[in-house]
Amino acid sequence: MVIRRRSIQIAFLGAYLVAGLVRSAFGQQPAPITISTDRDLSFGSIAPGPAGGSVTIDPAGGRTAAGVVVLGSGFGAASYTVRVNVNGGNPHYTITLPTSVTLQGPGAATMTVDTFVSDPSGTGNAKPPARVDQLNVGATLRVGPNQPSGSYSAPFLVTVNLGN
Amino acid sequence: MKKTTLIALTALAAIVLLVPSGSAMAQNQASAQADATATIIAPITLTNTADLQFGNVVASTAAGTIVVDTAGGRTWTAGATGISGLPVSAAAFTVGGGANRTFTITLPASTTITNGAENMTVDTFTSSLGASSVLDGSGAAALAVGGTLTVNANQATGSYSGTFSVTVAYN
Repeated sequence: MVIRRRSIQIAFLGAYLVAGLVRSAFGQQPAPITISTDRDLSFGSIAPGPAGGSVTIDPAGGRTAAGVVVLGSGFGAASYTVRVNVNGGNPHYTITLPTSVTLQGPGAATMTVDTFVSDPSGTGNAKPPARVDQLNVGATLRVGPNQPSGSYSAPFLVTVNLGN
Repeated sequence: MKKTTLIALTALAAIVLLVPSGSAMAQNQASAQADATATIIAPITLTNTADLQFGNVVASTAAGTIVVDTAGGRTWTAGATGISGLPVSAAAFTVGGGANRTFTITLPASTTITNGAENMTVDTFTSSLGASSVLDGSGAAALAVGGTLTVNANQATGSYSGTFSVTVAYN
């Protein structure tokens, strides 16, 4: 029994070590494409009007408003770093943006963010030798009539696909 | 021993099969999460709580002025004289909005107050908060507005009134 148990232990240890080697051989290769968030999308402070309106952040970070008053300087586009880890060529990637996101505010209050726009738009190119690209994303916030005061937020996903 | 080896190989095969499929397939796509944020500030409001009143004024053969300052104090010059009998006050307003927000105050250049066909001009409006100010921590501010009434020579007696507009805006 002692010998048999030790054999089982050795066998599993061997399997574990081999699997670890296999895992490291595949797993430690850098992922072909990665994206990391550098900055959130912020519409800043807004004073709503009786008829509602909208606030647009363009990918360069500029802010424009219609029907509402925008205040202060705390606004900006979302920014990401895209890294492509494949050799050769000009590795292109496609960008997928959300259609719309619902921001949650105080109580049951919500606002919709839509018309997401990115720079680059549609397809990016993480050119060698660096193979790193900066991706910026803006969108339009819909502000309701007499929108309740408070902080609103929601997460959203931006997806990149490696193409050729 | 055979059984042991078989179990080990099965485990190894399962792990080996999982590892390459997990790494090679999914990583041609990557996603990142960011937050979208916005802060809604209460709209700015302005509520009138008291009128600008120049009180009882005696005219003369010479023109003159009656000045009501933002504290409600009254002074006069030349041919006009303020006397007692009617209330004298600066206009008073309450400003409401977002806590600690700055705002601008815009006063009219002048307004005309009338009594039938007779009229006088009020101008040189003054603000107790200057041209801009800050709402307090509860989002409120008190604003007083004074002005200067020009009383013409031989101004007809009677009760004169008119309106003027004050505007506040976030900046």
